[in-house]
Order: sequence, then structure tokens, then C-alpha cells
Amino acid sequence: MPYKILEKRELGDSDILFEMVLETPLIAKKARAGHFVLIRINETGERIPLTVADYDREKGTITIVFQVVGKTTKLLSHQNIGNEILDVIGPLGNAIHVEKIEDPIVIVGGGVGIAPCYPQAKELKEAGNKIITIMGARNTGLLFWREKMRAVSDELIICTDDGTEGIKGVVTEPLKDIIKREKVAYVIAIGPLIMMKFVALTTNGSGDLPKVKTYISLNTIMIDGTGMCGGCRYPTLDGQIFHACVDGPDVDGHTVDFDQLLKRATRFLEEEKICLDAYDHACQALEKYKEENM
Amino acid sequence: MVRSSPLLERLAENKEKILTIKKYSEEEYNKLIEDLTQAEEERIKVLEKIKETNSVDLQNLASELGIPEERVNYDVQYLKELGLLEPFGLVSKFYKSIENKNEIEGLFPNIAVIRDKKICSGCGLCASVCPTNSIHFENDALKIYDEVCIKCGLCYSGCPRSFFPKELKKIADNASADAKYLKQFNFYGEVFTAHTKDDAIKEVGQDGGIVTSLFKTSFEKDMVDAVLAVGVGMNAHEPLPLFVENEVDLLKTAGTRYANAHALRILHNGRKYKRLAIIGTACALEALQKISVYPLNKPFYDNITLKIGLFCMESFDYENILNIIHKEFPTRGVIDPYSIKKMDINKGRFYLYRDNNTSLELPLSKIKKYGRFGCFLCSDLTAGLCDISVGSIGSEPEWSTVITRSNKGTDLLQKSIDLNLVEKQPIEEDSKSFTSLSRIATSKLKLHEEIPRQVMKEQDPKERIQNFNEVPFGFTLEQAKLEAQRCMQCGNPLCVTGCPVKIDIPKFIRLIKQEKLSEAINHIKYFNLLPAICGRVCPQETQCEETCLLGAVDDPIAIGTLERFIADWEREGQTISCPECRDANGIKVGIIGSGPAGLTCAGELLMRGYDITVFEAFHAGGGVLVYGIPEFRLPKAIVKQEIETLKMIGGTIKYNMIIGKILTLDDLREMGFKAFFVGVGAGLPMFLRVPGLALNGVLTANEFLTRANLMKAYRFPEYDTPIKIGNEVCVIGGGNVAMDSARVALRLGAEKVYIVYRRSKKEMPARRAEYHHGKEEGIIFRFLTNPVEFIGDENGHVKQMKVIKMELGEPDDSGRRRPIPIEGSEYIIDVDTVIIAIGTRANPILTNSAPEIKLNKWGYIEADETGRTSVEDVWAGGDIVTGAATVISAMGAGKEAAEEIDEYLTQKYLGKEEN
Repeated sequence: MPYKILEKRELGDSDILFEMVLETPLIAKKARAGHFVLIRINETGERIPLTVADYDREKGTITIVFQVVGKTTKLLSHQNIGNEILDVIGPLGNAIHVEKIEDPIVIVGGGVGIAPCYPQAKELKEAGNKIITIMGARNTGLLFWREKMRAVSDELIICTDDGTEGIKGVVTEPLKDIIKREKVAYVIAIGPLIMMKFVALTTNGSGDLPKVKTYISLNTIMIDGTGMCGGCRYPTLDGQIFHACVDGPDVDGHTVDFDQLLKRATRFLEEEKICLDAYDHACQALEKYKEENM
Repeated sequence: MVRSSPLLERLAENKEKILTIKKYSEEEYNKLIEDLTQAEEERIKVLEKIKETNSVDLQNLASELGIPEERVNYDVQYLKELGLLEPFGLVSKFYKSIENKNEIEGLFPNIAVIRDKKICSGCGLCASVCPTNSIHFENDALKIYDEVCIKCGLCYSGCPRSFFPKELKKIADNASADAKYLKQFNFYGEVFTAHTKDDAIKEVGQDGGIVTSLFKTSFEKDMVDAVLAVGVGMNAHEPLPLFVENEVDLLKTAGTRYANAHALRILHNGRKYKRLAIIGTACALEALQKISVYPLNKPFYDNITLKIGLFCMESFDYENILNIIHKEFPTRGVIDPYSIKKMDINKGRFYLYRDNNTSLELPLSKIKKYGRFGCFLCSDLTAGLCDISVGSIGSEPEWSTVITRSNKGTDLLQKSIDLNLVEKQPIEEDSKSFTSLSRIATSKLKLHEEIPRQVMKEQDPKERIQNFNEVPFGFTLEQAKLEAQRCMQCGNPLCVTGCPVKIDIPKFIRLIKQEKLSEAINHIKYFNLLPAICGRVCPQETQCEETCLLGAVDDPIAIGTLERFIADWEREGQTISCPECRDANGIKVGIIGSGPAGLTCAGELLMRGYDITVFEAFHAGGGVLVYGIPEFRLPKAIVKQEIETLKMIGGTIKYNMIIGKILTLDDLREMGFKAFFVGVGAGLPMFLRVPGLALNGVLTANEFLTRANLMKAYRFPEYDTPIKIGNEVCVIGGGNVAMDSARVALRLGAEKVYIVYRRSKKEMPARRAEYHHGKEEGIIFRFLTNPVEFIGDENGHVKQMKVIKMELGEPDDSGRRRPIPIEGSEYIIDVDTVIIAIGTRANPILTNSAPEIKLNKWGYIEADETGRTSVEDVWAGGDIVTGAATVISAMGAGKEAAEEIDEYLTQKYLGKEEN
């Protein structure tokens, strides 16, 4: 039962960020903020987790957003509207907890991590919460969904590392200002591991700022996504082992051992490069063939 | 110089005890010792010569020791059975398999070994041989009084079932000069059909009344002083052995007792007669043969001057004779055993003649299952080791078949004719009677001694660690037929009791032997829909092959390989036959999980007409069969084929469906599903709680195998899923999953692969074949070793593993001895990869979404033996109920549940009119 690509858009101005709408009626019925799916593009493909960035129960679709980093994401970016993806499995992981809270909730999205922030902001906003969103990226070309995010936020702060849009600087700067400025219910941070690590360090109460509960979202290497393989296990600072797929993906950022996790993320760097190089090589060969023969 | 031996010492030590019991007088005791001393001295000489020359060359031993080669051979057999020739490469499989050996080396164990292996023939000789009277038969059960037993092992050495050299089986010593030989008959002179002409004997005798007539003749002609015969005891048809000294008493014992009499148990009491005649079936005659060679025949038993053999297919315990009478003639009301005058077997039927001149009959096949296990091992229908044999097979009613073997036998028969007691007609060798007798006798031959257990050809270990192709190639048709011939076709097959789905194993083996291959596969499929898989992954050595009766004396039948052979034969022939299905009834049943339990349940329900959808979480069906078991052990094409068969008979399989996530049981109920079978397995890995678990390079067997098998990482980068192993791999655990992981690692190019297991080799739960394969392939086993820490490098990658040595303590809950760390015994193993394969536990995804299903404290579903859970329409089976177990037990659970689901749905939705 393959899954059809109904829409495909390039995001920002970077050539590496894409948004796809997939026809997955059963998953769309159950999808919630926090959920992810595993996809396998074709018979020889690997399984990678992607967060459900939006869903439409009526149309029976989910939206995924991805950044091209390796072979699988590159191959996915080469798929077009009407193409089919072999396997989409989900919804997996735990949906976020939604209730109305007095104090504002701060949502920090970094790079491609902005996408999973959207359904969380949307569901929390719909429940009547005050949402302050910080969107950050290296440069303006890597930013996307500004309007979508604005629509579900009471306040939207944009920052870029190079200052090409919004505040020049990293996301923790405006976050500090907000925490100094007012009482915050909790923080949700989704983005690169290093960004999440620094958000957690900002809010863990170790500096001059008060401690603020912080959820981060794990996007580890996974195979089955049901707790079976143990590949996505992550260490906590007190030496316990959890599974991102069934205990997460959203977890308490102050318990996570980020340094170990950063090392775990490098498990297959070599193999990823071999795969990507082989794919690039094949793509070039195909291009050349097309040029010569068509 | 008299050399002593453990046996002689034992008897000397217990002289007083033996004499107190008064079975032997002092004089008799001394005679026994004298005789045994001779025999023991000879054996000591043989053993010493073997040690000296370091060879077991019979010819050489015979010429150097000046003992006839035949005797040397018997001595060697004896020493081999004592386990004393092990250093010279001669060890009996039987001896090896005995767990409770005599604590003194060089002494046999007592007869309990034979009893416990269920191979006692019931001849009763051991009770007679025992110098302290510690062996008794109570209601057919052999009892040993341990407090009286002196553990001398004489009972074992005289037992016809403990060991019986081939050469003893055909003795031509007393055969007449013109005797012929046929394997199924042993040596024989002539074959007749005969009957008595004596009216008194006709009235009471069996068939032709020949045995009684022969004994009558031997009394009249003063050839013997007494006959050891079997009369009737206190209860109807209860056999009672006794000595008969005259014609009058003789008539009282006429007629066959089909119940086992253990007649030889009183043999020693016959020492008061100078000339004793014995009547017995093959086993009793074998016992006599054996004690004449391994001399126990003095001082009691050297007075046997005439042996009459009785044809015997099998005998029955007395209790089972009553069972036959009461259970197998059920529709005819209660039968008073006292009303039965006579029993008889003729032309494949079992007859009861009653005192009101009516008779009842049954096909023999109906009573076969009541036979003694010891009888299934017997090869000798016509009781070849005697002077003359008598039986009904081959003759018309009221006549008996007689086979003369020795001059004495021929003479006796002639004398009975001269006395006008008997009338005979020859059975010519080209006659129908001869052929039919020969055929039946041949069918009783056991061929395992001539045909060794067949072994599959396998890929060379050096070659196979370079590929993922299957290791064994399976049997050829010739091998399969040979192996099938080894099967003894027991009437009450023990192998079936070891099979979780109760396949009628002897029948499918018989069909292979007859080369009725499609019948054979259909017969298996009636019990087991996945034979190609079970033949490969079942732990046969702890199931059917463990209980196989042949295993008590030899290598058991290769049941698993035969099952695999027949399933492969069908698959490769491309003529998969569809099981017959009932008409579709449109009732929807959901099967959660496509592992062995789910697939079996689905198949069974499809055949019963249900509308089946199997929901599988992965993108390929088969569960553990595809993600867990590697290609070289179970080719995925086979699993695929089995799933195709299910589709062929109308099943639907939906992939990527994690029930509990995408759909819940309630969603499915809304969609019209009326019942569910949950077979989601025990998928969650268990972790060792040791430091360093988060290091890169430390992974679960689940992850390793799923990458390799399901995601085909062994073909990276053709397939995108990577796998990393490095040079030195350490697998922790001792089960099949550990073995699989280690062997996959080898094939992925690891130079050194260790298996670290905290118990010893004996406790390893892995299939024996996998252990051997792994060993051949060069896996290094570190038994009694457990990891205590994984040590990483600066990049967070494991580089070493600290382990500790263990010793075994008292047995734990699992019955296995608990491993205990030996303090201070830690050492380091260098590793690049650590694979943890220490077990799995329940996956809570489905059960979390359906909290109404009751779980036990470990998170497994509580279900009764039919799989019924606390929820009306939900059944469960396989690992999610039992915890990690075998493929076949999961299939058994799936099958059992299917029957119950069918019953439930039939009652609820189809009404009772459907019959």
C-alpha cells in the first residue's frame, strides 16, 4: 500500500528544505502534535523518522518537512508530486500534553526544527494558551513558515546567526530576555541537538535565571520505532536508558545527557557519507546519460 | 594369579548380605564368583592389551592373547558399554546417554536405566539375576529396592535391552547343518503349518495347539523335567509364570497370554530341575542368549535344554489388556474379563472368544498403541534364538506355523508326529503363506543398526562465512528414504508427545519411506501449516527427537530434517497444494502480528471459512522469522512462500500497521471485526545494567539482526541501511539469538567473534545444530563469563569489555544452576562491537491501547491454554503470552486459539444449525 505525494514545496531559499503532503488517511485520523512517522522510500531504502509537521483529518493527509542531509533525504527531495513512497508507518511516539495554563509557553524552533513546532504551537494555542515563538536559523534562506507560525503565536521572534533576518544572534538570547521579563510556564525547544543543549543549559537554573521546565524533541536513529531495536536509546544524566521512540520523542531536556547523545549521533557518519557519495555519483551519471542521449 | 575387578570386589564386599538373602547358597555363590572371575580376568586381559597396544584390533588381540576372536569381540563390546574404551574412540551412544551411571567406574548401572528409558521388554531376567532380590515387578512396573540393591550391575549386563552385540543376534551354534538364513527369520531348517490331533489340547490350546503338543511330547519321551510356562493368576487373564512338571498341569497353562508375564523372573527357581524347557518370545530368548555369553548362566541357568520360541508382534502390560477389553469395545457394553475364554491375533485382527461361544474382533491397528515401548524396539518376530518357533502368522485358523531351527527342534517335532499328537504340512518358500510371514517379519526388522542417522550436506565453514546462503543443503530423496527406514514405527509413538502441535510423525515418515511424497506433505500440513520453517528452526533435540524411542539406544530419527525435506520437495516442485477450505462465511477476524502464532492462526481460520486480515507492523510478514532469524538459517523466500499460500486461500495481509497506534482494537471492532488473535511477540530487548551501555558499538541483538535481516544491511551500500561491526565482536548470551548474531557478525567480516555466556555449555538454550555450526565457523565461546563494564574511547565508542568469571551454584527458578561471579576474576576483552542478546520482554504498544486486556506482572497477556484472554473477543498466543519461546510452541498456540475462535464465532454468529 504505497503512499502518494500530493504536494511538494521547497522551503526558504536554500535548496535543502522541503515540505511534502502525503496521502495517509489512517495516520491523518490519529496524528497529533508530537507524533512522528517512519518512512522507507523504496525497497532498498532505510527507515528514517520524520515528525508530523501538520495533518488534515478531512483530506486524510499529513505534512512532513525535511532537510537534505544524507542519501535518504536527498532521494526524498528528488521525489515529485504523484510519486509514491513505499512505506509510511505511524503515528508513532507520544503526543504532547495539552492543557490551558496561565503563564505563557515559549516555543523555540531552530532550522528544520521549526516544522515540528508548528502543530505543538497550534494545539496549545487552540487550547487557549499564550504562545511566544522564537524561530532561528543560520540565515534567512533557511527560515520558513513565518506566517503559519505567526498565526498560532501571540508573539513571534525571529533571529539568524548572520543577522540576515530579525535579531542577529542565537535563539538563547531572546529566550533569556523573555525569562527575565516574565514568568514562563515551560519551554519547548526543537532543533539541532546543539541548540537544544544550549536551551536546556539556559533554563536549567544553573545561571542567574530561574529554572524553567524544558521539553526537547529527540530525532535519533531509529529502525522499528516501537521500542524493539533499542537503537534510539538515549542516556540521561543519572545513567538511565530511555527510548526516544516510545518514551519520547518529547522529553525533559534537563535530564538528557547531551554530550553522550551528540556522540551517539555520529554512529554511522562514515556509512552515511558512503551512501550519499554513491547516490550523488549515480545522479551525476544519470544526468550525463540524459545529456548525451536525450 | 587372580586379578580382581570392580564387579568381583563389589560381590565380595557384599558376600554376607547376599548370603543372608538366601537366594544363593554359599556353594552357589562361590560357583558364580568362580565363573565371573574367569570372565572378568579375560576382559581385564583384553583391556590391558588394548591399553598396551593402543588399538582395538580384534584379530591382533585374539592372536596375542590366545582367545578366540569371537570372544574377544564380546569382551570388547562389554568394555565399550562400560565406557572403558572411550580413550580408544569406542564409546556406545547408549552408555553416553545414561545420566545416572554407577558411581564406581567399571560397573554397570542398575536396571533403572532401562526402565527409565522405557525400553524394558519385560522378560523378567533381571529380577532372577539379582543376587539380593532387589528387583520386583509390581503391576507390570519394574521396582528396585535401593536399600537392598548392591549396585553390582549384573541386572544390566544380563538385560537384552541394555546392549546386545549384533553377533549375538544370529547364532548358528545349535542350528541344524542344512539351516538356511534369512535376516527376518534368523537361521531356520524348515517351515510347516501344523495342528494338534489331541482333542484335549484342541479344546484349550491356541491356534494349532502345537506348543502344548510339543511339551506333551517332551514329557512323554522324558526329554525334560519341567517347563517354565505361563498360567493364569488371581485375576482374569493375569499372567503368572510357573514351572510345570507333568502333562496334566500343562493343559492348564495352554493358550496365549497377551499380557507380559516377566516369566524369567522365577528362572532361578528352576535350578532344582536337571532339564528345563523354556517357552518364550524373542526378548526372553535374547536374555538367555546374552547370559550364556556374558556368563551369568551358572549356577542357576545351565540346565536349560529346550527352548521354544513364540512369534510376537508386541506384548501388553496386564493393565493395558484390560484397557483394550474395556475401551476398545465400547459400544458392546461392559465385558467381564472372566467371560473371555481366549484371545487371539490372526490375519491382522485381534479376537476375543467368549464363554458363550461368541467372539469379538478388532483390527490390530486399534490396539497397537497399547503395546509396550520395549516391544517397538524388537526386530525378531519369529523368536529366532531357539530350537523351534511357533506362531499363528502364516497359517489358517486352527493351525500354527512352525519353524524348526536345531536338530533338537526337528527331532521334537518328529516325535510329536510319531506319537500321533501333531499333523504337519510344509510351507513352501514360494507359497503365499511364506511370503506373508516373511513380509510381516521383515516389517518388524529395525534398520537403525545398519543405517546410521543421515546427515545433511553442508556448505564448507570457510566458504559459508563469506556468504549468507543457507548452511545445510537438506536431504536428497535417497537420504530421506534411508532415514525414514530407520523409524521403528512405534505403535504408541513417543515422538508425537514431544511435538507441540502433535504431528503424526510416524505416518509422514512412513509415507516418505513409501515415496508417497505429496501424501506425506499433506499429512504434515494437516497439523502444521509451516513445515519448511519448523523443519529448520524447531529445537527438535528437546522436542520430538528427544522423546523418540530410538534415541534411547541410538541416534534418534532426524525428524526435523525429514520435515524440512518434504516441505522443500513441495516448494521446489512448484506445486503447492491448497489446504481444503470451508465456504467463506464473511465473518471478519483480525490477526495482530504475522509471526508464527499469527500466521498459523490465520491459516487455520481461513480454512474454516473466515475473512482474515493480518496486521503486521513491519513492511514484511513473518515477524521474528524475518527480522530475527538470518537468511542462512531460514531463507526469506520460504517465509514469503508461506505468506503467499495464505493469500492464495483468501487471506489479506496489511503491512505497516502498528495496532495500538494507527488503529486500535475498538477501531477494528467498528470496522466489523468480530474476533481478534493477538500474536505480537515479545519484542522489547532486555539490557544489561552495566556501565557503558550508551557507548557507540554497543547494541542489542534486535537492532543488529533487524538491520542485517529485515533491512538487508549485509548488502550495504546496495541497501541503504548501514551496519558496523569492526574486527572484534562480542555477543552476550547463550540462546539462538546470540548464535545468530555471532554468525551474522562473522559473515559481515569480523575477524574474531566471541560468545560470552554466564552459564556453561550445558545450560545453553541454543539449538545444538547452531552451536555446532558456530563452533565450526570459528566462534570463540567464553562460557561462565559475564560482562561487568563496557569501556569506551574518547569518541564514545566501545573499545574494551571487562568481564568476570562465573561458577554455577544451586538451581534457580528455571531449573538451571544459578551463575555466581568469582570475586577477583575480572579480565578485559578488546572489542569493536558488543551485541547484547540476553532476552526480550513484552512490547506494551498494543496492550497500552487496550487496557481492558489483563496482563501479568511482567506485562505478558494473561491467557488460558486455549489463548482466551480477559476480553470476550480477544485471544492471544505465542511470546506475548509465554515470554520468549519457540516458533513451534507459538504455532501450537495459534492453532489452539483458532479452534476456540471458530467455536466462539460459530455459536455467536452462525447459529447451531451449522454442523
